[in-house]
Amino acid sequence: MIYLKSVLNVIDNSGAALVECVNVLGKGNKTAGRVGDRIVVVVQSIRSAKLLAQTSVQNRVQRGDVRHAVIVRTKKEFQRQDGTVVRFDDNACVLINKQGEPIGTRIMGVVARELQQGYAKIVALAPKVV
Amino acid sequence: MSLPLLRLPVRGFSVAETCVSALRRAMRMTLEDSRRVQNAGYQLKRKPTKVPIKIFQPGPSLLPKGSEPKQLLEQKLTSELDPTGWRRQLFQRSSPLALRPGDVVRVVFNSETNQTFVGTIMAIRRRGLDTSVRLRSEVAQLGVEMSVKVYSTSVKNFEFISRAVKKARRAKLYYLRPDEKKGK
Repeated sequence: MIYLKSVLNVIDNSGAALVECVNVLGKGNKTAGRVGDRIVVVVQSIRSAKLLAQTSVQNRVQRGDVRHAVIVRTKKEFQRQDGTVVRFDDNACVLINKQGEPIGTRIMGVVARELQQGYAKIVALAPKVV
Repeated sequence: MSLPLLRLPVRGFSVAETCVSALRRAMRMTLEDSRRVQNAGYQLKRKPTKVPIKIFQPGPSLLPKGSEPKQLLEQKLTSELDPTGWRRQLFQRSSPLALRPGDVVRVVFNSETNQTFVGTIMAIRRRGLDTSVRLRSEVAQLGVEMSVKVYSTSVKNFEFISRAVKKARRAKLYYLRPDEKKGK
């Protein structure tokens, strides 16, 4: 359940470490964001330069940047069609551009299988998909 | 209780009311009327209503009398979803192969990639066909919990990996979750 003021971990190498959600896109008023939803975020903190080596300079984000992101993990459990319920220990997202492509080149960590619909590139980059 | 079609000429009753409720209301009547009912059976001599109150006979029984539909359905579905009985063997308390909280188990799903999830059993929620098992695992240094429906057709297999090192003193091991307050 991601909504205004939710802080999420960023699991790509775009440069951001923590972002704060400002808006959940494509949903009605007061509807929380779930895995696979697109959100607008403000970058709150960035990672050290060593990790950013692979990202191009134009793609690197700064503190205070407003970007789009897609939710890849939520602490709030979600249910699948077969009745399986999945829950992660944190809330995480991957920064994307307006076209829906990830800004970074690497994904670090687990992502939910729900992203296959619409964000296949993120699923392909992710080391582990649950 | 099946009643024949009654022409209950009682003032103020709607067509929707059943015979029984109409009769009950009709019972609130004068002594005179009650005497009349006693003599006539159930016929009341009153001004007739415009529409007769229909009383429907019960339909033919779909199941033999005395049978329990819920049990029959459960038996039917169990024979369909678990014909060999391996799921029952793993999750029935009395079974010698029963899984217990604390055991490490691998779930194999019925997908093209044969997706698997390995985890410690945190909880077994026993509800017959709706039985589910909650597994916890560390995936890429992150805790992930998955609650899997045991009788789901998307579950191909449960592979037992290891028994709990020490028998868990609880049925539900929610204490395995990280303590949120410690960090703050």
